Amino acid sequence: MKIKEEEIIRLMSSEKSREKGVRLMMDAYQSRLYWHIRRIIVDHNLAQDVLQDTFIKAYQNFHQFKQDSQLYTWLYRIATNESLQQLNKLKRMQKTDEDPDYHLQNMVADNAAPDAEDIQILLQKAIHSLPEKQKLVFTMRYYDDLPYEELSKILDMSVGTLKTNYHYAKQKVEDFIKQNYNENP
Amino acid sequence: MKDFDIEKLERKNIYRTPDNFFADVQANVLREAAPAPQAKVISLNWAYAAAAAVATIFGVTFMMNQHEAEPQIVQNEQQVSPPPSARIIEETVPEATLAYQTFEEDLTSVETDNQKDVPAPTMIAAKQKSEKIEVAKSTAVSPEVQVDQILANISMAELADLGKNAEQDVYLDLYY
Repeated sequence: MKIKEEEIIRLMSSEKSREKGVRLMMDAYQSRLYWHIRRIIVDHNLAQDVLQDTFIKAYQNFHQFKQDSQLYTWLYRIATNESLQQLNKLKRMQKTDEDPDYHLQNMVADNAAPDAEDIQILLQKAIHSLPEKQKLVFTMRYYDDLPYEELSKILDMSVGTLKTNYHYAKQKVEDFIKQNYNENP
Repeated sequence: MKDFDIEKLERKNIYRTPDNFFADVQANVLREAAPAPQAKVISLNWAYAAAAAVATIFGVTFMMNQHEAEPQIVQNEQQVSPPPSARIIEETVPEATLAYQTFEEDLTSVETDNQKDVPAPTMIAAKQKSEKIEVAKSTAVSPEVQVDQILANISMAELADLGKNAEQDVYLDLYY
């Protein structure tokens, strides 16, 4: 992965080979970024918009990328910010008095595949019951297995705070599942 | 469910994506993010650039000089040409001469049969001048003197006839 990332950076640094570099970057990270965005936003169409905006911003602002961090860290940071902006926009547009997090929990069941397991659906609902920062830390650590050092760069939080947040998030998710899981539906 | 550990749960995606979804995303990104094709830039040789600059300077200088030269010509024309009054005289003199010649021909055409000596134009001009001076002198006499002269020529009988024809002023009668 490290070699591939260096190749992407080399291609994108040159004006002539930038398009080729973007293609390579999308091939490498589009799936991981999409699922990261989808877990935050839930809706597929919105997730697609955010993914596209992420790559477009990465393409147009590549000169701002400081190579002291890894490329995927930078992409995760853009994707996370774009997702949160999209969520805030949705919250502002929401006219009902329904709690936005509760609205997302309901959307999980509506958007889940027909063959999705109940425990998996319940896990997603539990994640959407978390506060925003815990939600982000938990999803990126649990699903993407990102190291705390990289998470620190993505979320501008110290490693200690991240570990604490992950610990509390994991505990809340487990409690949520224990309370809501019905073994005999 | 009491001993539930989330770390033991398999990581699965519960959502699905449409077919060719990522291909569409890539196409959209490249369409929107790729810079618009720029106009072809023609590299200019320094020699051509210098030649073009020199030509422009000469052209501008020539135009400027031409604009400045036009008023000078007009000024020169004004200096050379006589004043407007003189020009009018020049224009009118030939016409007057022509009129005089035709007038002279008309007058002399009748007299040529009886008179052989044709007066010179200068003589006629002098004669006309003297007549004009006499008329001017006569008009220079005051109106009172002229009235006296006219009255002196009229007899008493003619004056009585003129008085009969005059309308009587009723208001003047009051003071008689």
